[in-house]
Amino acid sequence: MIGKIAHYFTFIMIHISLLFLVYPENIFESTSKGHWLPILIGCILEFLLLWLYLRVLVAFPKLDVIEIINVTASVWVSRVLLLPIVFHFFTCIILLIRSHVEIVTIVLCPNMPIWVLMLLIGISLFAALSDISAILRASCVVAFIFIPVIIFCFISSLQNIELPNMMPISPSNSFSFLQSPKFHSSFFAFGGYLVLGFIRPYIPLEVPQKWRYLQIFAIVIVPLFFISIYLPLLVFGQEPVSKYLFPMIEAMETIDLYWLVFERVTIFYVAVTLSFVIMYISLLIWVSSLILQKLYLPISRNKLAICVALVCYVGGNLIRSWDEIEWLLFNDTVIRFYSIIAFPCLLSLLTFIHRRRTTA
Amino acid sequence: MKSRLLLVLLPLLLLSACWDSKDINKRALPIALGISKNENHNYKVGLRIPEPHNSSTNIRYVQAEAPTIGQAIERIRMKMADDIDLLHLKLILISEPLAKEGLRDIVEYAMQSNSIQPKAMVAIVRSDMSKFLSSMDEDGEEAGQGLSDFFSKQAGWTPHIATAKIWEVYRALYFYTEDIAIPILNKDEETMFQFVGSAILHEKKMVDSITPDETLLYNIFQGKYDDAHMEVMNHASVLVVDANVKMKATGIEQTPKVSSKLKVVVTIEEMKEGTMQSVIEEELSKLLKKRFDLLTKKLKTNHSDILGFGQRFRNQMSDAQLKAWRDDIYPKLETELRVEVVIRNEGSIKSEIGDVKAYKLEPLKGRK
Repeated sequence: MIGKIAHYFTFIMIHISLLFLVYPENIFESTSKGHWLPILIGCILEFLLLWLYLRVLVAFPKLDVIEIINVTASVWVSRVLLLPIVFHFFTCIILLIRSHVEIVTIVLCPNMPIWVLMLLIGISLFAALSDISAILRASCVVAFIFIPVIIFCFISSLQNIELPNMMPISPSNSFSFLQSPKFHSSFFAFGGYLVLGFIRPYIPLEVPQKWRYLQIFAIVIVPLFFISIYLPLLVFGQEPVSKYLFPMIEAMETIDLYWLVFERVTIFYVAVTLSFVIMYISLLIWVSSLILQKLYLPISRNKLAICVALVCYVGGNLIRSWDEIEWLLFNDTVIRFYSIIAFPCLLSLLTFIHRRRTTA
Repeated sequence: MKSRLLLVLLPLLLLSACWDSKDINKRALPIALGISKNENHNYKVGLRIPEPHNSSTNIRYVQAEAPTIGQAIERIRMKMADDIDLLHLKLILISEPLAKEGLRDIVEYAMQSNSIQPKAMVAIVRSDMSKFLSSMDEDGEEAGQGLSDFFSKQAGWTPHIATAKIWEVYRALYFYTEDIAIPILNKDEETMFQFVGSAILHEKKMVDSITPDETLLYNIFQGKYDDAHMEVMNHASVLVVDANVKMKATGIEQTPKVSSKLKVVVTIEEMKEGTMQSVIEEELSKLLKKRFDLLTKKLKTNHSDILGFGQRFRNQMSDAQLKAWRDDIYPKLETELRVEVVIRNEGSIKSEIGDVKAYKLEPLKGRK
């Protein structure tokens, strides 16, 4: 039972851990009105790419992305094509863990040293050392426990909303946000689906599951993207909200429930997103060690996983300030666009050529 | 074997307690923070710290002066044996002269430093800050929570009292189309303090104040009306049990106009002999209209849009108009109020014969 649905929860969890981080701030920075347009553009793009990606995966039963490229082209092609992806996963791990550590120091314990909090990556590593099915099951449990909590956070923050705040609803005519670097950074939140291609042999993924993924994306994840923008916007209004570094956390800080034993709902919110991030990072460590093992270094995967976690731990500790996190996020743009947009296109191109060659 | 060793070592990591834990009895948890300025233009920051002793609560008041608020708090820290934890701060009090000088620094400090929760209340104090903060009544009952209970809907709040949280004030400072009213407190002989009105802001400064009656209208327009309040008129006293407003905004290009419809539901508490319901309705709507006209006039001259008229125009305005709302468009705004009074019942005593006649003459009056 769990084996059949756990991966859907993993898919949702991946998106939650990505989209509440820097996405709201990026969108508020890139446009001042009609926020639904940039959100919709991003969502439609990811929907199309997800569809393209899953189409390729379904066409090759029981093969993961690495093997698909090996079959359609050669090992060297996959080595070249997947190198940026590995880099993308590394920066993802570093950005996710480091920025959440920063959030923890801002919200919970301001005096805690970064290097201690960075040890949280150890939990992810512990999960990554075990079997992939263990990670999937664990993320299912985490989702079951924490998704109600995050829904509670959303519902209770409705007490402060004012509907006129979302006006003006018509977008700016010039589409100027398309050129904004912050808008490009916001695509960080749309890269979650890539992992599916690597854990594919361990999850049931045929045509019905492909459509189920697309349905889940449209019904569950797209509304989450809208919540991440419109919840803070309805609470604060555009001009004040663009001044916040973490609009979502500020929106949580405004919740005042006298009957709740705990004074701050923010703590729950941070704990939930942090646990999702830890699960996603364990998945990323597992996937990166798998790619490294299959293509570059044929040694034990566990050793590689430890190396990946160590590199990310050290890399995260090298980041000294929030500015450097944003610098990394900004400079990662090219690799990110390659991984999220170009890679699925290249993949389907390869399979297209392959199919022509084999049928001809 | 390896995993057992790990299991043995794991508690070392998990059970070593928090990194920088400080015991609760080593923490001072101030309930209110008062900020004023001294003659040298330095901030004077005072903390009101309840200290529980056996059965009663004592109040400790500590203060320090420094060029910035953060520095002043740092100086208080240097004088105290306990660690100061501002996270449970409930109320930030600002002296009136300082509020007239500008609120930006204070609100920005409270939002920027993560040590204060954005949902702490803000109030302006008319009397001397140190006396205000160190005062307590004889039996010490209001020493602890009293300050924050005053603004709590679950305790002593009434619809006449404005409430402002830090994040709401911060929002109003930067928002184009809505302002906020901040409650003004004064020291009282019998209880700790008294609500005397609300401050209205323009350009991050307090510019004027409105009366508690006007604050009531503000609360109704903000949808914050709750509970019930009494209105006394010539012929009757009524208890307003519900009030809400519908607003319609038109004509942003030529003559901007907001027509508001206020619906009040009342029950009659007492009335003079032979008073007809229509008289009560007329008196009440006249009273509210007069109050509304005076309030909007005062607000427009001060460029303070606390009733949220600008919000209604938000969808009609261009970027430039949004920016110009408070200074150029709002003073020219025409406002109109229609009052609909619904008399729900007349208490436990039946109405007099005169009223029954009125019913017969105008059946279903007041319903459209």
